[in-house]
Amino acid sequence: MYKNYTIKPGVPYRHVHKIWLIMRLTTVILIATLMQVSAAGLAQRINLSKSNAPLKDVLKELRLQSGYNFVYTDNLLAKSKPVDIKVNDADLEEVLKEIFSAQPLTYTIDSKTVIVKPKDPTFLERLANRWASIDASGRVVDSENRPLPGASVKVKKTGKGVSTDKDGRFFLRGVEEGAVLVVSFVGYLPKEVSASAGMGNVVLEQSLSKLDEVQVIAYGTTTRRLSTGNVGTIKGEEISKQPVSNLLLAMQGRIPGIYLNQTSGIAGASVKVRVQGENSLKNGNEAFYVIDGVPYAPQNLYSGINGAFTGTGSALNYINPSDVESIEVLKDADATSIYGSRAANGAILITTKKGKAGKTKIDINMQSGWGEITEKMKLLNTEQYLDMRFEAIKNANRQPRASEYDINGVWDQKKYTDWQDKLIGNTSHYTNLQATISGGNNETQFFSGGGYTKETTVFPGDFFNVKANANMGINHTSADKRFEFNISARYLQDDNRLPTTDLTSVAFTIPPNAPDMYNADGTINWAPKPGSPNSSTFIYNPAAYLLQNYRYRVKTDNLLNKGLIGYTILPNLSFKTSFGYNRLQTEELNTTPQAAFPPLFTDNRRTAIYGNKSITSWIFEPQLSYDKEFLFGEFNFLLGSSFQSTKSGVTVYKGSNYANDDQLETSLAAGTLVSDRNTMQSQYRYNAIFSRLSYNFKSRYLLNISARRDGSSRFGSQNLFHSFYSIGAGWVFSDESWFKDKSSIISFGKFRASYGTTGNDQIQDYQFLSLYSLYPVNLPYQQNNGILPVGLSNPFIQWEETKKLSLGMDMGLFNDRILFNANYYRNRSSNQLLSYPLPSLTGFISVIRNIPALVQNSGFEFSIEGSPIRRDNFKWQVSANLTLPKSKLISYENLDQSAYNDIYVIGQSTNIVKVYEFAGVNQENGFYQFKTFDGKITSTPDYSTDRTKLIDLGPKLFGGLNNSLTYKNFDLSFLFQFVKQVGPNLKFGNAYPGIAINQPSSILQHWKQNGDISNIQKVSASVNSFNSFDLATSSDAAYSDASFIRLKTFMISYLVPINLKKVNSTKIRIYVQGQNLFTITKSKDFDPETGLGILPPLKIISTGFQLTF
Amino acid sequence: MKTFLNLRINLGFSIKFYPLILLLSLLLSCKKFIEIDAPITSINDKNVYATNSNATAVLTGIYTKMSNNPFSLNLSLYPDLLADNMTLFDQNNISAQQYYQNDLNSLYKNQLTNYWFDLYSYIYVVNAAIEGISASQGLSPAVKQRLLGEAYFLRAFYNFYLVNIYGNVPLLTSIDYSINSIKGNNQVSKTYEQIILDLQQAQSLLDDDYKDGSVINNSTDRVRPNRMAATALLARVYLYTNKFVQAEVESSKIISKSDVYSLSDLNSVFLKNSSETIWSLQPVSTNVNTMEGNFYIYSSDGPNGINFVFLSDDILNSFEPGDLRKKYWIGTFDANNTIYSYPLKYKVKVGDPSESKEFTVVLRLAEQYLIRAEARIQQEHISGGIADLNALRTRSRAEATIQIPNPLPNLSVNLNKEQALSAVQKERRVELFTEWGDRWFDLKRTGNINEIMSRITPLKGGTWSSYKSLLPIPQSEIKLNSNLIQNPGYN
Repeated sequence: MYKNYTIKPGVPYRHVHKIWLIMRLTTVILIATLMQVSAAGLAQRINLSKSNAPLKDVLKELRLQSGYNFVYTDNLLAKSKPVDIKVNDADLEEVLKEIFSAQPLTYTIDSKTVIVKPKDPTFLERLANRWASIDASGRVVDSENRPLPGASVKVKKTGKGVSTDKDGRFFLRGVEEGAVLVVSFVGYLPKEVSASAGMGNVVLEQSLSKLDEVQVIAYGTTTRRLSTGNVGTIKGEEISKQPVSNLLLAMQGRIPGIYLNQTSGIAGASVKVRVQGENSLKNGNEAFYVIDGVPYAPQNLYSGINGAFTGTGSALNYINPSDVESIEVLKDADATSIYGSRAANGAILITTKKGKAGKTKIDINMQSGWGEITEKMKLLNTEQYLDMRFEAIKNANRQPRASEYDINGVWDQKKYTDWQDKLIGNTSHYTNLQATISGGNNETQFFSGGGYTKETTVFPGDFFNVKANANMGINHTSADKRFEFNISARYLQDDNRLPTTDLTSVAFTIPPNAPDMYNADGTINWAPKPGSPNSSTFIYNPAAYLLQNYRYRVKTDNLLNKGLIGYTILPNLSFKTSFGYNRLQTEELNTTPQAAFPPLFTDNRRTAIYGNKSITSWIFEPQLSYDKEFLFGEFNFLLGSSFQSTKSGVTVYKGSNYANDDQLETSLAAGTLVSDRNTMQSQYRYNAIFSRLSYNFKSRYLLNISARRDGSSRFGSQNLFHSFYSIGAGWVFSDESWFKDKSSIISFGKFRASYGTTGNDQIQDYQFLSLYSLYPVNLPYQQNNGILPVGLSNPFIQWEETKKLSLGMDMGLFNDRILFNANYYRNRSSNQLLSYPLPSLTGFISVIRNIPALVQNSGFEFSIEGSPIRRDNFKWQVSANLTLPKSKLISYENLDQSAYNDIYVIGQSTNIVKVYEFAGVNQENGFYQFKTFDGKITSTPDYSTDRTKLIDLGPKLFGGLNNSLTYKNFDLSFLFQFVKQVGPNLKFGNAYPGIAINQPSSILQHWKQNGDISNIQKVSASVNSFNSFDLATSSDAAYSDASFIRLKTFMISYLVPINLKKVNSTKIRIYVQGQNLFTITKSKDFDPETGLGILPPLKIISTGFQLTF
Repeated sequence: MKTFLNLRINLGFSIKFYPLILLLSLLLSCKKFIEIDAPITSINDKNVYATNSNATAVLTGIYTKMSNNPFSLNLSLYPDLLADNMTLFDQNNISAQQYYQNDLNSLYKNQLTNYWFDLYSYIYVVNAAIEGISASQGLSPAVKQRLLGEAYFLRAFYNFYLVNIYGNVPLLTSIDYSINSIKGNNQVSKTYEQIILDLQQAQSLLDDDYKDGSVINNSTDRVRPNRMAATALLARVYLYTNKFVQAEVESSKIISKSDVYSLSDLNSVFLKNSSETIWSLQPVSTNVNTMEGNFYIYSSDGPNGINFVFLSDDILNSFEPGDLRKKYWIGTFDANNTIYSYPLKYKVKVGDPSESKEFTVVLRLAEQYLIRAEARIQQEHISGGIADLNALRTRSRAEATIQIPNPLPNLSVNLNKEQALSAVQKERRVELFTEWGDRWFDLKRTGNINEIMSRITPLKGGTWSSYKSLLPIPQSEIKLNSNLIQNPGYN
């Protein structure tokens, strides 16, 4: 019978506890023995007189008097009762016996050490305890009385605990009546209640600490408190404060370690996203995008049609920003290596909004705005321009030529047009309408919405980009909560009718006395020479560019389906499988009508290009997870596999020989239709097994181990598979008792460390095969298109591998009112896939090969957020982040023999350019001079030896500062973004000062005559001067500080106070938003973000109104 | 009791674990699934030779590229510029000047042409095709045979030019770059052995018909090589390797096929599908017929930076009085009383987009007469050789006039061997100028090059050395392949 009691629940825990205690004690003893060898050798007699004294004090006194060491823990003594004792000249053993008789503690003496330990309960005591225990039961709910299944209920003293069931109910057998129970649940504040038989509802309050907000990670969720990885988050409410059409832009300046660059101010332009730098020298550096668990290709396919303007365009444009609940950026190996071969450049997880149980809610948001360019470049006016031109041809020793209409008298030399006004000076319009409806009960929730967004451009003409989106989703959980099902569908159609030519560089370069674009009758003004009506002096009329692309359009349909079925097989074991389907379909048309050509071209030049692109992918990921709380901690084990297939196809036809301009729309009317070389079909298949083991001991010691084995069809038959792993650990030191008692400022503190491997598979499909592609010509050989091999095959090519080390610290101060986060990362990428030079004997000049070049990206990331003022009426929240990145090429075997020798230098950043050292303008001849490698001054530096200066174009530092103020119904928030970097400048002018293009007004300071000291050479329309200009633009002086601080976002909103008794949940909010309102920078001539000759990010101001009921 | 409890727990678990074990095995069995098949959606070396149409398209691709790139023009222009047929007009064209003044170096800085890269990249495709087609199971036998025949012919064709331009070159018969990238030079004779083998193979695989783009149906377009094309090249190769008996046999095979091949009117020789054409390349551009016509024929302002050459006095003086080839095949341009002569074999500069009138002729009948003439004379069959030469002279003979009462007379059958051979050389020059490097190769082959070039090169402003008869192997190649040995005289 005696044994029977030992298996009583809770007792085994005590065994463990004891083992633990003994281990600790042993340590303490060892230390004590080593440190206190000099304890008094003689047993002393004890004199003691204490009344109601803490046991600790008494023991201290005893130690002093006896010379014995006392071993105990504070925890242990917490149970002790106050001591009353009065002895004189007593023996130590007697004194101890007396003191401990009334204590729930006992002791042993081991040589000169007294070890205090808990008293074993007597048989009777045990029996009594047994009868005193009760079975506690109750239900855990949230503040809205919704059950919280899976909440933890633990006896504080013993640590014994259970989890709540589907209805939030718990049943705890054999608890001492009145014992303290700790009830906790992720995202809620833990609560202590005393145990009783029928406890009713235990209401948990949601935690307001950001540390407890749910954070989405790969194949699961966590919180900032418990995470061992480096993860940055931005919430949907922050995204909704910004009138951006590409949701990636909403992250700008808000998350440390992620650098975003808007490539152009035009709608639909792609966004360059770099998570902790560029790891790959020549292949993709895109992050891995996952939308609700389904991988998503960030770039559309290349068809050659939209060309350099928006590149392939960002496929994230086809995701509606207002659908997004949160974006998580996973940076280190701990967070990403479970994504294996694809996440070397970080992973960006996009979570969309879902229905929530409760009253049906309708939300309508209408917004309308205006955008324009922020600043114009200062250009020469007609008089200055003509002065420059005449001086230039005089310096070139010649007269104006027959074709130089700007100065030979054909064009009006008094005319002045502000071409920036004409071409990029218009106001663009932005309209956004979104409506959603959501609701449901505890079992089933739904979400549905739709929207419409239209953006126009600052260019003249009817250009626009329209997006229409619709989505719906249903979540269902069975009544017993064991079965889970959800499905969602998102659809977006994008109709892009933007020009393919960015007129910004045209606006900067067209001569100010050029003729008008249009004749009075609206036709293109070709400005014929007097007496020769079919001639044209204005071939480069920008109106022709606009017309060439007038019927350019890209229609994109994006369908994103996602589903999940889950079943809890056993209380701790659940199986789920997610599946996703995505189809991105794009139709393109680009027409060039005959009217775009001057009348002197009488031959049929009208052409059209037809493109059809599609990416179809599906994914299927079965997963098994096992959660168990053991005596020695909580375990979560995940095992899953992934099956993915992506088919991509591009079909491009080029048509010519149309009878008239109207026929261009349809390929059927083409006289000649030729398949273009961008036509391609490819398939990508992917398979993996992954697993993760998370261990959490008392929310204090955290361990995370993940592993993945990947197979990808992109790699050669000899290297199809690769394994990736990571280990991450966290230590919440603020929960340690020795810390807790000492610090009242630091409410939370955690150290994190992780190390692991990830891969990069962003290379083209089938690189391991010798591919053949169409060799298209206008007149196919024997009416048949030929195909030819396009490269050598290498069946050994493999993943680029990045080893990531991350060290971090998260801290909460003043009750988590201030959260601070610091992180160091060091990512080392090797196995770089590069083209390896081969003799052309082999048929090609190179083959793709993995080369052990090592690239290191390291840096520090800091973020801090807090709410300095938190009153009822007035709240102020501020957050800031800062990243200090550094890139370095550590090694590259035989770099000097490779084709990349011109680009890279070992030991330097991978973003460098090699340039000449500028040495001013020669005072005598007015040409630029440079310093050679041995310090001589020359006008003809040597390309191979004299490019001694290295300019690092990577960002040195970047970050953001965000403020949010709430006063009564007013809400104001604004974000400053800052970047410290070096970039190219226009110091030496637009190309070749002196030729027939306009120049920035800084060119006025040029060298004019012998003896002039200037940094700008003489204007001259001569080849020597052009060569000299080319050299100068490849010198260090052509680069300067391009740092900037930008007021990225500004928003003020007002919640209209309404007092309708019946519909008390109705909310009306009106707001004004601004984007890119102003920029502080030294880069005068163009925007430091988008660069030279590209439309800068527009200043957009919009007003809106939101209705929720 | 403890054991009893434990037992119960274990039992309970083991029952419940059955579905779990099933699920686990599902998860783990995906290991097999990982082995992904080779993709079939793109055209690659695994599937390109699986179907008739794709395999045919590879050979079609080669012809298309040969026609689209200035391949024939490069072999027409630069060898003649190196030799004594062509004069450089634009003295600022430093790159062309290197050819003109016989001053090439292995750096090929600003090079205008890279025969090495062009020829080896064609050889790669041909070798890939031979490998792929031979191994293919999916091709119909007739198509397989035809394509292999075309491929062997092409390999011989490219190797012929490599060996004549560079001398000892690596002979490649596989596509493995790990082998090819370290291949050293082979002796010229070894390459010729392979060329002859390939052409004999081609002869046995090909038939006499010209085929269309399917290589199944016959076609009137003579744009895919047939057995006669292989025979014509083989005749030339035998001549170049001094196998005169065989050269005569091969050339006779073509000359005797008079129902298909006959000497046509001088103005029709280079028209598409002329009766003289043995193999030609179809133009693939809508507004240019042949690269030669487009380049040699001047625009309204005469020779300039783009059309930068004219015919040398040396060749103009080689024409005998009353030779219609000078009249019909050479154009003149009067620029301020300076007369520039240019090749006018092809007469279309800018073409009619709808229809091509002229095809680039690669192999033609007249050369076979010249081969047989030389082969016969070398075998002391002088009258037979002279008869062949006279056949060509008859065609080019003008009407007698008062100024030229005896235009381009028939050669006497009484010439001795030396005289007859020199007559062959002269006839070859005026017949085959600006065609496929013929003049340059003749100078080398006959051993006259040093004698003639040491006279000509100084006139062009350069200096002659005998090593210059071979072009330098690009330095960049030697840097990447240490087994490759540069031609003597270059570094």
